[in-house]
Amino acid sequence: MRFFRGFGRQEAPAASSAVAKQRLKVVLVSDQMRVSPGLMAAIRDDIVDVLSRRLDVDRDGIEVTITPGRNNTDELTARIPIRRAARARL
Amino acid sequence: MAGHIVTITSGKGGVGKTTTTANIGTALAMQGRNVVLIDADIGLRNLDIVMGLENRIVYDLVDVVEGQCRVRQAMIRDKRFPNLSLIPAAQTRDKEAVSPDQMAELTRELAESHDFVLVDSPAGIEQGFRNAIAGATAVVVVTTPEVSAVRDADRIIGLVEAAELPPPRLILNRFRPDMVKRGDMMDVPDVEEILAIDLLGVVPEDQTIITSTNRGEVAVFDSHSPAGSAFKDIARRLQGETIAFPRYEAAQVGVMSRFLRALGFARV
Ligand SMILES: Nc1ncnc2c1ncn2[C@@H]1O[C@H](COP(=O)(O)OP(=O)(O)O)[C@@H](O)[C@H]1O
Ligand SMILES: [Mg+2]
Repeated sequence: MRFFRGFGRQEAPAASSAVAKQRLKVVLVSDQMRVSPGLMAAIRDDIVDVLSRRLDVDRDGIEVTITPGRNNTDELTARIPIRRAARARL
Repeated sequence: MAGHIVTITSGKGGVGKTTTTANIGTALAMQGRNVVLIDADIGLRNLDIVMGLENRIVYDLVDVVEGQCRVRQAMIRDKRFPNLSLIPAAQTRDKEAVSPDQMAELTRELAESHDFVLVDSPAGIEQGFRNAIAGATAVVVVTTPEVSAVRDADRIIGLVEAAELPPPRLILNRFRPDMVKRGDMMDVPDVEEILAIDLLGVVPEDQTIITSTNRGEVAVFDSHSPAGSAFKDIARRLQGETIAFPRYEAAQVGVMSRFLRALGFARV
């Protein structure tokens, strides 16, 4: 219930409508960019190969996205999960 | 023994095929089955965003059939269930990029290593539909209780039977007991009588479908969602269990909630 959100200053989860808008912005950019799947795969593999020399990267968990950036550019963002055990090596 | 290849189809668009595929697939995975979902709606990719996996796509269905990648490489593993994965549709190609023979071969290959292969069909009766049912061992027809959707469902049922597949089973989606009570919507037995196929489940209209899809989650995660529990029952029936059909009654609106509503509390 929205009414109670004001109390207690608890961190309310983002409204699902806001999450929806954000997710759509991201996915529409990659739909429109029409980056070939092959190129995306190559970029992804390159990133993994470089990082894997030093870290235990979870290949299946990687998210590579392209979103609108500042000054008429697009921005590539990569979320790369690293397995916990590997932290000791950092 | 090879797994089941279940195609979810409807004829009419927008009746809930993709929602159904995502929810049943997740429910089957929650119930311990090994599941792969295929988005066969080439050119109008959607199952990825409904599942919240849209940022993980590298290869798609067309890449697989064209041999650009191995099947494994196109399977995106779900974040929560290692036994659930998705092969996304291509977004920039058309339905003719895949043939029925290729779909049949792919689904049969996947059924060797999975309990369930669920295929989300595009709307229509053209090549996209023929691709989607090509390998099917079972077909589920989704409709809403509206005249146009039921008419299209009837057409699809005829085409499935003509393709010599086993008789399809029915999911009645977006069911509203309040409207049925007022006589403003066909009831379950009405639709069953018209379509004359076995009922697999009734899924009520539920706002959780929209709020969870906003977040890239599915309603079966929400234990309070009426649609979510209907989809979990359907998943059990697909595994051969006998689950009673709950009777959906119009919710009684009490005095207290009327009072609170009058004060502007929308959801009590
Ligand atoms: N049981 C339901 N309650 C409320 N909304 C629903 C329900 N089922 C589907 N919807 C909504 O209906 C719309 C169409 O559903 P979708 O699964 O995309 O249909 P299709 O794949 O058949 O075109 C979506 O906006 C979805 O959120
Ligand atoms: Mg769809």
